Amino acid sequence: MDSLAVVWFVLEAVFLAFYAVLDGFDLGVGTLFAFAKTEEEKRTWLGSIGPVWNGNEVWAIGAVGTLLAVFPPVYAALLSTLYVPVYLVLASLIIRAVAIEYRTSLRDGFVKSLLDVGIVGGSGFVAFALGFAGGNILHGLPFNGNLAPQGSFLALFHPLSVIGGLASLAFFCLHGASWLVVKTEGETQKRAKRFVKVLRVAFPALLLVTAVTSAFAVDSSLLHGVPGKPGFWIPAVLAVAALGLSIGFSLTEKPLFSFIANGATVAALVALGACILFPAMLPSSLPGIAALTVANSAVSHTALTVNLITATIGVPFVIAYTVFSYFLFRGKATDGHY
Amino acid sequence: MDGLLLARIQFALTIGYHFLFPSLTMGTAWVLVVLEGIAFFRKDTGVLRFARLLAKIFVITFAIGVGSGIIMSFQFGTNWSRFSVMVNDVIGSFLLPEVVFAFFLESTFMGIYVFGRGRVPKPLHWVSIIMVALGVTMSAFWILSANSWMHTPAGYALSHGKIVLTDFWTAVINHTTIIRFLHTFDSSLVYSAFFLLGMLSWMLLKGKDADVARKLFGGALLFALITSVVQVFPFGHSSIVSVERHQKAKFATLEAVSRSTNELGLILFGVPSPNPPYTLWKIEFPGIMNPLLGTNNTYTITGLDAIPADNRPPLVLTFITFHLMVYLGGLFIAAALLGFILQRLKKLESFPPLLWFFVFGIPLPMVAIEAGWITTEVGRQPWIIQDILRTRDAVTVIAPGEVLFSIILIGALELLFLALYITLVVRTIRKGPEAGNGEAKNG
Repeated sequence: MDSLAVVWFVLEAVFLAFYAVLDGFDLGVGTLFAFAKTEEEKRTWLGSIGPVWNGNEVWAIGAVGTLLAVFPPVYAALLSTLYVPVYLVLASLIIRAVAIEYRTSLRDGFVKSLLDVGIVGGSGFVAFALGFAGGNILHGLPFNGNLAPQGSFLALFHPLSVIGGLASLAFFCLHGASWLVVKTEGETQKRAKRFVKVLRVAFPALLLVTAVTSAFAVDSSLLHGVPGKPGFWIPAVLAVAALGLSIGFSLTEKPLFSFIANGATVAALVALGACILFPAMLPSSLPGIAALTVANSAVSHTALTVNLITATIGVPFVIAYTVFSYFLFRGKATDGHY
Repeated sequence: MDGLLLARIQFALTIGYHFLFPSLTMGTAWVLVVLEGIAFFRKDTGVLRFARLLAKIFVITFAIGVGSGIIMSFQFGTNWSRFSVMVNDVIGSFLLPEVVFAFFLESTFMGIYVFGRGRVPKPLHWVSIIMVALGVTMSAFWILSANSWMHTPAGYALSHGKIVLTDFWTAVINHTTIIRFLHTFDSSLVYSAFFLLGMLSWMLLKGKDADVARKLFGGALLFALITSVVQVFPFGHSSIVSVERHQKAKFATLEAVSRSTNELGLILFGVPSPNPPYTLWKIEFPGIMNPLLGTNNTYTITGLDAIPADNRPPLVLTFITFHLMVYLGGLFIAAALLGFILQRLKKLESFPPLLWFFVFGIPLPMVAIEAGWITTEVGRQPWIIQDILRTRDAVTVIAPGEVLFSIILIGALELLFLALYITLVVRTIRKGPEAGNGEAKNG
């Protein structure tokens, strides 16, 4: 196996983790937007994610772009097998993007309330779909030896994907609610705290159900020897510890630390998924079809090298100006009108 | 309907739709760099008011451009999986830099530009729009490099049925990357120039902040004139020369060259037909093609008779869109020149028809841009990668029902948002700059 391909597998997980940590909270804020009451409150909520959500979303393109550029067979099999959910996610992303940016230019009325529904539906569906996709990947997807999808859309619904989806929905809402606690004050903050109170129970419960379901539903080739791997125990323990810290910090009224601990939780969960998969990347649920692996999916050594140079030059800048932008808009959120 | 046709329809619709927006934002970003710069350095509140008006349109255009663009980065996998598996060794190494260098840059600094007005220091605010402009421009460079590679592949080798990268920079700067980038970048400048002229004309006609409009009109006309002239010569001319060199079938199709010849005229008008002689009621400037192509009259220009029937692109659509683009290009030069002369003579405002033309002509550059892209993409058929991979061999084997579902879902949504977008743009332009000194109240 080309060691650069392994580096890229790690980077893929890192990009996904960045996406979950960063876009995660604005997806959560978008989902919880259903409960925002006054116009002022709505503007404050959207103002809290307004300057940064677009940049956050680019990490998704980074993760998908990495699959496209480095592991084309995985990219092709994953997206064509998840065809219908992928288009629902794309539709959700467009709705969300347009709704968030356009509602400030509109007067109150039918179109504006439709856009508000779009923000909730679009964000909520993406939040669900990420766990749904994760469950499907670990379960194995129905593609044949030519990477062509087999079987219907309904085959994608099974206990692991559905529970995984609900768990991720709950997590992103928790993450979003924690963000609102950090970024708002007064009445709005009180309400955000109530969301956290519910979600810090709901998410761990759903996570536990997901974990139990996984033991039965994860593709058998992946589970072989897993419980003995340090790659399994280390991220699992870290995830539990981070989640414990998140709950602890929210109980002791340290919202920023709780928010950061949420991020660590989801990053550890992404790492856990990656460790369970490695060296495979995408198992097939069809009998007798070998999984796509890091080794058999990576592009040529030349392309791996070129891409690594690109990432090495580019990503540090991205991180630098992302940090800078969060620093600029630190403090309590204001009206999102511009 | 079969999956291939549906996948092609889906791609044509989504890319055609997507490009409506970046084609405006790329040029407008640079216009805003200039306007915000003038407003900042000269402390010109009138220009700032206008910049804020343009920025509103820029923001709603950018948002829908990003939304519709995300589809593209998934579509290669959902619908063109065999293409992805075969060529991503090369294409992927162009698209990754687009994400890493361009998408992050434009999205992050867009947030700072939009929400930072009145909240971050003014120099930083100006830098943020420069960063956005750099981001969109770099994005265009990388995607055009990928597109050009599909027309004129270079820097690769075939190995076990896959294409592998052998020389990155040769692949990136392939035979047509530079000219395609310049032609596309300038097309966006032309669009933004005419958008500007349309907005300023409206302000003059309706007496909304007319002093500011008057101040900016001369510069906008000069900008429109220069960009639309260089769009034809040298960029348009070089593009067509490179098509003739590298894509004989496309050239023969868009000029409807029926037989190979070294004595070809330039078609000024003709009605295309799918069968020989391919053009009816043709009016042409005889014998000029060799000099135009920079070759002497012993050089043979390949005609459709020399190209096997299953390697020929569809003629009628390619011919029509190509000539539509060229006619519109001529119209832009004429309008900009007329405006420029009238403005010099201080007669512009006493000639409202031209101002009305600028107002209602706002979408015309966009029509020319879409027409040009249809020419270049349809003209490459039946190949998805010229002479290497046919479009029919690139598609995912997938249930047509699912593709149809995605077309209806995305199509309905995009139509709805297009209506909303146009409504908002028209409303913003009609309203004109907001009163006041242009300073932000609350960011």
